Amino acid sequence: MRGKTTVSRAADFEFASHDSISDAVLASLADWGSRPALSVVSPDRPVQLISADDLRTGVYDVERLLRSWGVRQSVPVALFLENSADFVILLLALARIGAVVIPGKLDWRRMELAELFENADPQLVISEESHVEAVSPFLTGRAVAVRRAQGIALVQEPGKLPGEAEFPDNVASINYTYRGLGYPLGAMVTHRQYLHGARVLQDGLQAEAGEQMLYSIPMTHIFTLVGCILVPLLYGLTGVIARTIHPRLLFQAIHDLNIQHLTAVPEIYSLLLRAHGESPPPPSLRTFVSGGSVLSGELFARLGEHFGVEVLHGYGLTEFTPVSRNARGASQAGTVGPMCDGIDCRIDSADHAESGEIMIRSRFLSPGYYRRETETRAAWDGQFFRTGDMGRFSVSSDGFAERHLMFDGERKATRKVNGVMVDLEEVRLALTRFPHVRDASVRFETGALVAEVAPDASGVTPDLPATLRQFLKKQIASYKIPRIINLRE
Amino acid sequence: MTESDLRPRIEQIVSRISRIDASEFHDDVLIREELGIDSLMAMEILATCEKEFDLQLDEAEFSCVETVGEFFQLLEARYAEQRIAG
Repeated sequence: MRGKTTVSRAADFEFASHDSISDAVLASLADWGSRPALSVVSPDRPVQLISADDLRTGVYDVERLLRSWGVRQSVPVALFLENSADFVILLLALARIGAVVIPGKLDWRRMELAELFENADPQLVISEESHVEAVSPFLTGRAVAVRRAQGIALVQEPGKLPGEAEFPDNVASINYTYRGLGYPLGAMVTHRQYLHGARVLQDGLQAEAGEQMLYSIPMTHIFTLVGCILVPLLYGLTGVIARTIHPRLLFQAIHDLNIQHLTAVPEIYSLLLRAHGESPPPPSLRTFVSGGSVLSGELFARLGEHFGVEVLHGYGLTEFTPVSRNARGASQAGTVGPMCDGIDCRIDSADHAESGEIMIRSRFLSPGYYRRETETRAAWDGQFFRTGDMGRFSVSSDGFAERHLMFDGERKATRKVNGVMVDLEEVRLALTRFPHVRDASVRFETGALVAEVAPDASGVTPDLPATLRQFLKKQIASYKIPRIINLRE
Repeated sequence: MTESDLRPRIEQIVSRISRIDASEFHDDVLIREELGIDSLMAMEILATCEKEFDLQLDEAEFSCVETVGEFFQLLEARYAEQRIAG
């Protein structure tokens, strides 16, 4: 008989008073004072500061603009935007209207975009002007607005007024993720999940109003939306958007803007560690918040030793973030921390001491994948959600509830490349779309994607791997293109 | 160090970071598509070259670079400018 280790933190959590991310943020900004709510660091221009008043005004102005375009409650709206203050303003303005935001990844190409547009059917698409070409095959019959230096403007009227879609109660966004099926799934994320996630992250971070958090990870990721946009705005920190991952510019921003908290993926921390050399660490730094992929015990120790910071690593999913996280004063190497309040966790293993699939339950969990009933039923096992990830609890004398979760890798056919999820089956399918490829397989080996490709007789040419890479570049995000492509019979 | 000494040093840096043998660094090879150098690796290469050769490299300029040859040319040009300025 299979054993199930359960850790419950559900009883400890009481929900906040607000039911929408925009109401909660705007209430927070009302008491902000003169400090900037957002700062934007770019490689090619001076630091841009946005006050709380300007952010609030921006949200109300954009809300009026969106309403004038016909956007209303339950209308799905896709955003294809770079990290920017405008992204934050649009997110909050759409939340005020009750529209459903679809954060679109700028890296995505034909295959991923086709799934997103067919599945979510956004009635309005708001895109960087420079990105319109990438999404143009999917814009027929939709309203289209572009973001330019001068602001956001409607450039294509819809064929009909934006239509409402059917969503469960309180859904704020559809965030695409993978389960190794070969196509993305749109997890519906509620306002309450965002607010819960922000609160439990802040419980672990214990940041103080007036501090600054710098981040450069894409705003389309759930980890960024919760941990980098909402935590600062709800708890009085200035969110510093770094539009670069250049170590020299990041260290300069940390120094010049007196940054206390940095949020990034382990791969960026590793880069910063290697690039920093023997210089003294920036004195303002207090914590490195980490997520997105595995942080080794060795990197945890080296970061702490080199920068004199506490490293707070955690674990979460698009369907629910965070599941667990290390807290200040109690972080441990090699773990993703104890379970967050508001969550029950089970390890589905043959033996309590062994690794097994991590299963979670929470009243704030995503209500399912949008218009994917079969996939939703397969992932939700009764009241518990099967994460597709393996883990176990550490042995601790501190009491059962304080046991730390240890992440043991993916059971599903997905892997993380630089903190970003790659569905191996999707890459395989992309390879087989090439006319001369009969079959293909894809695996993740020593930190890189490796493809084995079987071409037909007419397709065997010495430059096939290079040709395939050029082909894949138009089909899927560039980080999904295998670094090694081997030809086989 | 002259510009001609630069290339083997850059090759060493790129090879160490990308774990790709320097014999593959032909001028017409595409950095991203063929060598598989991603944005994080690229940043590490830029940061290391800046430190090693006391340069400041522009991210936007690097994002326009497509081939190994263009990358070497960019670094050689910046290095020459630095020597003139210095």
